[in-house]
Amino acid sequence: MFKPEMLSFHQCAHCGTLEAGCIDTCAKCLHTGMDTIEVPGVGTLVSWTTIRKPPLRFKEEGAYHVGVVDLDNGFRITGRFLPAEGDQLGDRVIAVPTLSADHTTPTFRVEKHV
Amino acid sequence: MRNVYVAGVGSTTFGKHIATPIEALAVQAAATALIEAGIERKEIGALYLGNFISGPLNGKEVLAGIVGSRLGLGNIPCTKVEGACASGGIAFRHAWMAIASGMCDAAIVVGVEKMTHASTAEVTSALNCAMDNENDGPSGLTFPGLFGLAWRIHAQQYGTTREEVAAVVIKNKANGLLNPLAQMGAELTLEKITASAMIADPLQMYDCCPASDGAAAIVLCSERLLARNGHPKIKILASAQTSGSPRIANHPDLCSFEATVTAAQKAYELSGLHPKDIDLVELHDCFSIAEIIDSEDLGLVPRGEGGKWAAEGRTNKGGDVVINASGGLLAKGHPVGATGIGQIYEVVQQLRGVHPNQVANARIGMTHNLGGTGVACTVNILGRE
Repeated sequence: MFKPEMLSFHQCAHCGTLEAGCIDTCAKCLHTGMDTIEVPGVGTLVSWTTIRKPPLRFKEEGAYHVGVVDLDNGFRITGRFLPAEGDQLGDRVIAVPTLSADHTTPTFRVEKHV
Repeated sequence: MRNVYVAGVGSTTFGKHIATPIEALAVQAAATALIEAGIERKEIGALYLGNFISGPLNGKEVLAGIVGSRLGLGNIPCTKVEGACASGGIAFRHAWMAIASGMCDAAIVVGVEKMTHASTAEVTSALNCAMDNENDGPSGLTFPGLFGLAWRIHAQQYGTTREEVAAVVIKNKANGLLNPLAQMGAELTLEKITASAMIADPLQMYDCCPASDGAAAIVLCSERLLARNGHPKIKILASAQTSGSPRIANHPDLCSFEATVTAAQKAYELSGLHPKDIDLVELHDCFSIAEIIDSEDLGLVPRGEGGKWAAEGRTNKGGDVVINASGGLLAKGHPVGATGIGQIYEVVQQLRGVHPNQVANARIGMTHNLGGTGVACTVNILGRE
């Protein structure tokens, strides 16, 4: 059993809405108090692709894989993905220690038994 | 709201204009439109200019004021409008509003972009300004990447095949060969498409629109100024603009853009028309799979059947609804800020009956311009009276 990386989110102290990124105002109730919470990086693979023409910021990495994941907390997130033979959309995935030069993005791989 | 009509149109070719400054491209298209309109310049009450990335790629801003001045339009309000790839469509809607509201009797809208002098990585970086760079950007996602993600889901949900998606490319590239404004029309085969370089799997090179230089312009007017220039009367039947989520997280279905769905609904409602009334559409095929998604979102093709309709020729000339007779972004090119206005230019020529790739008996045409990750969308319906 692998232990997933924990991922940080903001949660509105007033209405409980989850937000990601640099956000200090809740879009739902406009409250400005956001708590930081950590959730396990476990979810379902929505889709993935391989970026072969990166922007300047990631140019030195060459080709890399990006995936979209629906976390079990209901949040949809974009991150790096480590594909393996036979991976299917809808597979269970976990967050693993990040390989990206930009450490603000999580990295996922398929782990069928979580 | 007052009725608004097309008085004149102008466009440069889309392609490489290395030696021409960005403002000169805009002025060329705008001057053509003004001359064709036959409206005195003192009647023009507002200029709107659609542009996305003249700052990062050309080091030039205040383009609206520069172009207004170069056109001798005096002290009228000149406004640059930015909404990523929908910049042109949004600028058009503002010109329409200026006349519909009674603020002025004539307005000009110009769209322009100049991109081909920059490297692919520079262009990709500039375009990525339209992404949510707090959430999606740090992953290294690009716009081809977004549509690679969407394609995989479309293939799984609806069984869309490589062959079906290639049918869009073959059609639009062939249409582009007939359009003298187009950057890269071509006669393509499935084999040639599948042999092209992978860009963002499963998206390949021929599935992507090129970077382009170019400009397009439209002069709009009220009934009072409608030119006696011999052109048929083209009326704006609906102009709708909507917003959608700027981030992937808030798109519940990556195979559909809420902004397109709602803009289309609004345009049908405003015009009293239905999808079956649309003879032709110029839609935002920045990538082959985007045409399939857009055609479904606009209600022109049943959900999930965009690929099949393309493969069966139902979106070709002579089909159920003609999509991108101009060659679309895939073949005509995508000078980002000019694209939405270039689409209207194409529809106007079709409704006038003078398009080089004419759709027979074209009476009602639609344009669809989508920005960013579906953050901004405009849908227009034009009709020949």
